[in-house]
Amino acid sequence: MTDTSLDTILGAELDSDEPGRSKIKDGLGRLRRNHMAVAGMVIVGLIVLACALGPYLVPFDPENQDYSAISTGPSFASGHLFGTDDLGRDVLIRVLLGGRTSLAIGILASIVAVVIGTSYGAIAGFAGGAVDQFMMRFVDVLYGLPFLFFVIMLTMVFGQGILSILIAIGSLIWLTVAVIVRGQTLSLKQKEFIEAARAGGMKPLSIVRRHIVPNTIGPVIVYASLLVPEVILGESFLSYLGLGVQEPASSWGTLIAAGAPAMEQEPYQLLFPGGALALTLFSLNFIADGLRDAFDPKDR
Amino acid sequence: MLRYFLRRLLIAIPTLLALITISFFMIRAAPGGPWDGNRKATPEVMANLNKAYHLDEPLPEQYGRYLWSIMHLDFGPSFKYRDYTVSELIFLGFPISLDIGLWAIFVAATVGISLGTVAALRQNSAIDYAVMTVGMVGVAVPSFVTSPLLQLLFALTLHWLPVAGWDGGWQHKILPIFALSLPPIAAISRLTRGSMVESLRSNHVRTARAKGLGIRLTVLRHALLGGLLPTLAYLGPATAGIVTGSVVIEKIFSIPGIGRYFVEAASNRDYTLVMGTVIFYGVLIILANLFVDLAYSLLDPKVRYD
Repeated sequence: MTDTSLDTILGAELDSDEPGRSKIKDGLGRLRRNHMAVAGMVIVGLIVLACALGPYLVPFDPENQDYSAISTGPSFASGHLFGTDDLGRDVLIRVLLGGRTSLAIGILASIVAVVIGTSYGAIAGFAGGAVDQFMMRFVDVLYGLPFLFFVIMLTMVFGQGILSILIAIGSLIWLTVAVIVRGQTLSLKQKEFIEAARAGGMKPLSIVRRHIVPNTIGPVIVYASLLVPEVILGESFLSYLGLGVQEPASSWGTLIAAGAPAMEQEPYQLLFPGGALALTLFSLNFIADGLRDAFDPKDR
Repeated sequence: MLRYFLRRLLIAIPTLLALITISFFMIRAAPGGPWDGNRKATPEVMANLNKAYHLDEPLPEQYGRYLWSIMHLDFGPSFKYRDYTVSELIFLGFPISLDIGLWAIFVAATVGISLGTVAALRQNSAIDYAVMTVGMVGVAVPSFVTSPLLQLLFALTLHWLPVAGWDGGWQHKILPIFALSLPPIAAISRLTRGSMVESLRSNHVRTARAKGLGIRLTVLRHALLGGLLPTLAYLGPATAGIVTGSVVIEKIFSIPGIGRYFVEAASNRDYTLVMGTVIFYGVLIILANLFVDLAYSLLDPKVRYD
């Protein structure tokens, strides 16, 4: 590492009194020097901005059908930069509006899943014994529940829409995060530095928070970057079954699903939403790898 | 170790009972019923149907009856596939899903771990970025896009393999196995890369290198062992999910597996078939997570269960 200045060393020393601050500052500094991660953040920022503001700039209504332009390819002349779908609706505005839904669900559900899964897995693994058994068998039960009925129950309570999808997918995907973190914890808790923390009289919950969780961050961040596409595509599956986002509202998942059957005749209907998703995921990946490298306590 | 294994098998019984109980009442609480499709049925016919399948009894009584029958390994008749019992449906389809699923997991684990290791050894090089890009395509492109593309390329254009269908021959298995293994390849290669990067820097790996052990043996014997824990944790539930089939891939390649039942049974409100698939999948999940736990203690001697 390039910055082993006195500040950083002292910062690390002071850590035991002042939780985190210098660690975060330190990590952010390293993140800034990772060009791929910075590029990823810029691209994701631009995509978010485009989805947030873009719909106000596109001169078409997402529900309006242009009967003179049905299934036409992208063109500057007509103003349909991404072309139109088989109902004559502008693809660009649908991709932008769909991005709002997909990004919100994808990123929110992943963050919730990571927070819940990490805490749950770390506590189960660190506690061990009967507590671990009980907590992890509960995870087994949740894995096994009939997912579609679970979604139906949620839509009965919260109504059909983004909230139900968010809860449904979120409550399924944290399970694997918990399994992974628990596995890491089982191995970590036998290490010498945990032994030392215990001998030093640290309370179990603080050991989990200060020593176990930071050390599981690597696999967790990597797995989180895999969750985002899983959520976004999973939403399209629920929508296909009539439980998710419904027409005329759109999402990247539903647009990709609608574009897939037409991929030979009108490939742009698949390529634009698919491309938007792919670009987002690539960028998120570089951000994830950058975060992992910047905040992993073992990488000092 | 054997004691731990046996105790876990015992714990599986209350786990399964909890799963069955919650699922049973959740399924019944959902609106709709198994006869919704028969618009023309008269009230008498409906009443007779309900009576024949004991759906007219109070719910707790039905629950008791169901528990009693599954204790005798009787999972009841399917409501939709008349003339078939739930056990018959699952045991007709499962060997096919298992066949394809196990191959897909095997391919995914082999390719994913190798790619992840190579990427970790050459961290932040062109090879690393290339591997991670390929991996990303695997998760970003859904199987309802990759599968038709595979059919278009290998069946319709090159004529190497059949488009779809199932006769048990290897030709019919290759494309679905390939399509099924893409997402787990991506996940495994990324997880392996991440933890291998850490593992390669750890003290025991440095010691092995310092002792003069070659890079190949160091990676295989020392780095991989510690670096495989997250991959292994992912593999447990993923295997249970993949060997129970994928509704999308089974539809596209017309494979008579059990993946479709998970969706069809739910939308048909085929109560007995839903419960059958829940129990079957639940048993697989419980076993998969048990084997993962056993493998932990083999891979990492520090992991102990009391």
